[in-house]
Amino acid sequence: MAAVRRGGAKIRAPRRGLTTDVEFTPVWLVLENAFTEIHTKNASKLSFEELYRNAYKLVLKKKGEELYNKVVAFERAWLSTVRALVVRTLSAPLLIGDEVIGRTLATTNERREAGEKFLRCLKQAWEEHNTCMGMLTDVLMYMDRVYCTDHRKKSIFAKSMDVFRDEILRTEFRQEMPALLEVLRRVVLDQIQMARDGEAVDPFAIKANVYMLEALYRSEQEVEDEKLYLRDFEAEFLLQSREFYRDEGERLLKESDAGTYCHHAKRRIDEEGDRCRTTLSESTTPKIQTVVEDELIRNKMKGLIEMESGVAFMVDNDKLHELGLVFELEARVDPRKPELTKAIQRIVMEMGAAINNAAVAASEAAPTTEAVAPAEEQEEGGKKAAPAKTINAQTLAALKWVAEILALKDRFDAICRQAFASDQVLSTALNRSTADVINSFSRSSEYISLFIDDNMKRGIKDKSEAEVDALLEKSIVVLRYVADKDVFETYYKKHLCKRLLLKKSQSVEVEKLMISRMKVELGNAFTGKLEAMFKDMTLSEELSNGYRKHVAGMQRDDGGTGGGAKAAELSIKVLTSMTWPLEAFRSGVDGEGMDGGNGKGGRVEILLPPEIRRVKEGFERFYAQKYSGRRLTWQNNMGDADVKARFPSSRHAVHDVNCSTYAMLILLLFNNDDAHGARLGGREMTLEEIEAATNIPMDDLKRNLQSLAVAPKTRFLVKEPMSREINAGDRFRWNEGFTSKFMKIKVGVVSAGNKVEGDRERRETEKKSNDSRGFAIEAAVVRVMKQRKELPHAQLLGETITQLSHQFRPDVGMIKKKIESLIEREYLERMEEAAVPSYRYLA
Amino acid sequence: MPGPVEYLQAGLARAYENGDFTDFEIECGGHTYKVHKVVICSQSDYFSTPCKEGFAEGEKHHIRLKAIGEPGEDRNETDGVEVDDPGDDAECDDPEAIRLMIDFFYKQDYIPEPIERDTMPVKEEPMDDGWSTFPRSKEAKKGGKKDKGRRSRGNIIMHARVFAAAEKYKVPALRELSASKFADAAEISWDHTQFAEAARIVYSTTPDHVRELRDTVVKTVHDHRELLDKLSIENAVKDIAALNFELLRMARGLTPVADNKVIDEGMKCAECSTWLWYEECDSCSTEHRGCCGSCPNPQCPGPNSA
Repeated sequence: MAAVRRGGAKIRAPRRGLTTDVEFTPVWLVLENAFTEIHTKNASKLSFEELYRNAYKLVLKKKGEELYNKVVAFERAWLSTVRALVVRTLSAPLLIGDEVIGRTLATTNERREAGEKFLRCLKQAWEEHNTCMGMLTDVLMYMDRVYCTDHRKKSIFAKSMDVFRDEILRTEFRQEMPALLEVLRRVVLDQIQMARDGEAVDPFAIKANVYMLEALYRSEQEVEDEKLYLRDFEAEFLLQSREFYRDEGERLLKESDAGTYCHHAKRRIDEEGDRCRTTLSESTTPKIQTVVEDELIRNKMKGLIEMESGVAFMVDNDKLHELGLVFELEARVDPRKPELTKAIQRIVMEMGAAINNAAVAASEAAPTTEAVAPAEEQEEGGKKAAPAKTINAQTLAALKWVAEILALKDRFDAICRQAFASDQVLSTALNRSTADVINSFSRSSEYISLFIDDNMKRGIKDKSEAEVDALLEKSIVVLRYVADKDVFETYYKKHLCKRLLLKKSQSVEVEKLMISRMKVELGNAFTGKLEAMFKDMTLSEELSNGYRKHVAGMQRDDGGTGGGAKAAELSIKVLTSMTWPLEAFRSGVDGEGMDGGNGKGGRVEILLPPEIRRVKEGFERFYAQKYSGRRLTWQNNMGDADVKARFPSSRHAVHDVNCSTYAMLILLLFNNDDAHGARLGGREMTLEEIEAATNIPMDDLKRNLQSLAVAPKTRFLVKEPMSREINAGDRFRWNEGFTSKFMKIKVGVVSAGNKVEGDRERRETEKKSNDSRGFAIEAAVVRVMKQRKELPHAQLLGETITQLSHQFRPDVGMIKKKIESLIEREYLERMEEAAVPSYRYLA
Repeated sequence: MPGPVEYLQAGLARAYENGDFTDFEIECGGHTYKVHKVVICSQSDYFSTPCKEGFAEGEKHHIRLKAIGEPGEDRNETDGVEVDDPGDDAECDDPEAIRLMIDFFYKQDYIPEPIERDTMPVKEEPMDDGWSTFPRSKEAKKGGKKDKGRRSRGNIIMHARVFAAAEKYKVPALRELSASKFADAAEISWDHTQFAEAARIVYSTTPDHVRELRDTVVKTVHDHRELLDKLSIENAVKDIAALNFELLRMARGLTPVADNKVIDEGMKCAECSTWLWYEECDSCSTEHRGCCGSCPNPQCPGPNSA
């Protein structure tokens, strides 16, 4: 810079007379005097008009450059005196070179006061410089406009800022000492550190100096990101803060619990934000907050969540507020909140696994109870209590499981709502984890169905509408998570079937309500078959009534056919074979008579006594009249009968006995000699004879005989030899001495209750559901291919899975197999020419 | 139908005439004008400083603009240095120009007083006055002198002085207006005696780079070569070195000043740093610089080939 050099040497002592420039010097002297007055705050006696005119004159006479240089030199000289003033405020506590030593040697208070004094002095120097330069700019406006613009010079104001920076901040004022800029940075950082430690510092003094640093640039080119504040202060500030918070975070993690840590971290972030507003620059707010977030949150979040008093502890102890803090902290640093999400998911999975394991343990304990049950049955003689207990042990596990799952879900929903501000990411993660928990439990579908079953039978008794509604809602909530809806459907049908046929349901209304809820949740396809079951029930009701009228009419027609014995009454349920899972009623012993619909072919027809056969045939005729072309298959194993029985020694003359159809057939064997058959007790039959006479499957026969000959309260028959088990060759005869204080006796039916499936049953259910899945997959594949005609393999898989996702999670292996099978059956063909493996639909 | 702007102008003019709500005074050459800070500061950057606190004017709400020929008392009393020629102070103001400037602040226009015959300093053409439209047309001279004078936008000197004030006091609108009035006057009365004096004023009251009036002057002299035969013009051109140089450039077919391309050390173009040369344009045969763009000749018909 030639101008500056020249200025420094000549202009400082412009003695009158020595200069040859008569035009310039006198005018400049006027200006120089005025500038001194301005700097010493005496401007109000100066005439602006004169000063402006003089500056104008110099520019007009082409003395612009000289004027400019003189002004710069003047400012340089002036500011060097100002620097001396500022340096004088540097007192011992600030000058002890290294900051670490400085800190140890001077008390905080001394340092703070010395620092503030320095800051205020620098602030004043800066502000005065600005004011004076503002006035100089007014006076030199013509020079700025004309000379500076023309010669591409900085405005005198901007130039003077550079001079200020160089003279005041960057000039070394003493040997071995850093320039004032460095001192300033140290002092400000020190003051901020004090503020962090809780000291009260003067924010205005710092702020003013920050303004100064923000207004100055590192170099002559005023590049926006080359401000002194950014380059010489902020970077250092952020570095120092990072160190401070790294240490503080580590210390806090060791020393305090997670809750306190969260409080502290939040306070620190707010504090730094406030500090930027009051003390530093707003532009630093995001940067320093990132630093604090990095050091106190991002880098510590994992440790924080995993510490002993971390998230798991908070969940266990319902520390919602602190969970909220953790959430808020992590939400700051990452909208996906990965650590918290992971932690919460882990906790849900752990808790869910515990619930699942407990349920498995309970269900494994169940078989032992079952083994004990028959013994109890025999001892007590009554069959009702014991099976009920068995069922309870089985069902309880299911009920408990559902209840716990619901509790788990409710709990985390509450946490999510109250602590996590119903955050989208977290609630999605929670839902996913809940679904995982439910689906990782192999019996979830069955248990949910059991839960509903139990409530339908017992739970909704004496409950208000609202309570029932809540119950239904709960079931739906859990059901929503089940991936394999088809498995659930199977179980639900089975349970519903039993409830309907055995009239166990408390309220058909509620059943229908449940169905309609499922319809909303799972769609028409899902509930169609369930609804068909209800339809069958209604139709059957009408049929029974119609038949009763029909029989009554017949009896009037041929008066005395039945003689004294009235024809037996019949209540019938006609069930559509495909809708009803009748195998639910079959004993789990073997596959005998598996086919519900095909009747005689597969199994032996039950031999009925004539009076019963007459009723059966009568109804068949009646039915055939109404619906031609339909065949009825009688499910005798599912029926029950009311019979009247007379026992000579009993206190009631006639007992009303309710028993299964099979039990009735057995009892009738011992009744057949005499219509009044009272005292003919001599007849004796072996097990095999009874089987031959009735064709009842051996397993059912044994269980029914157990009820009739072993259970004490309904021991209508006497067994030889007397033992609990029914064995081949056992002989039975009428128990002449039977007595009971009840007139109505109900013969218990073994295995009609609601219980968890045995292993064999489960395997069967699985196989069944696998089969039906196979069909569903094939149907889906064909649907897709029919629409697309040609499709690559991967895409076909994807679309198939999407189509089926609302029913179940299809197994890829199975889809592949089904595609193979479709190719074999020439629905599809492989496209040999395609680049990727693809299929073509063959119409 | 006057619009809102017209009403505002009328209101401002009224406030100025009646002296309503004035809060500042401008003094020049013995006259004091009562004005409104908001009116003058909104049109001139200069006045905002004396209108606010800080300098003496701000305290007194009064500014004295030094008129041409007034003694510079403040200057002399402090250090006793004599300014060489107090009469030639081009940085001082013509009181009449200041009056017109203030008029302009309130009326957005100004009309200079016609120059009286007696005061005309040049003697060669005593019959001419500053505002006659067609001085050589005898019909015009005979018929209604006064009306012609009105239309002549006369007093080319005063336009130059108003322009100088507008430049000095940073009144951009007035600068534009006076420059265009000056150009009109020069076009009409280029052969008027006042023209030489106007040229002197133009070249002494504004810096070199202020081109508006200078371009008009140099172009006028260039276009009317008979002017060079005129004694007053000869004297003026001889005196004004800048005008001299600019005419030379014009005579060589160049623009009066090199358009913004200042030649630095050696003969290099400041813009592209290549050695400078001139060449003839293929299309129009004028000479132009061989670097940095194209033929500057506005009449050049063809594509500019460098």
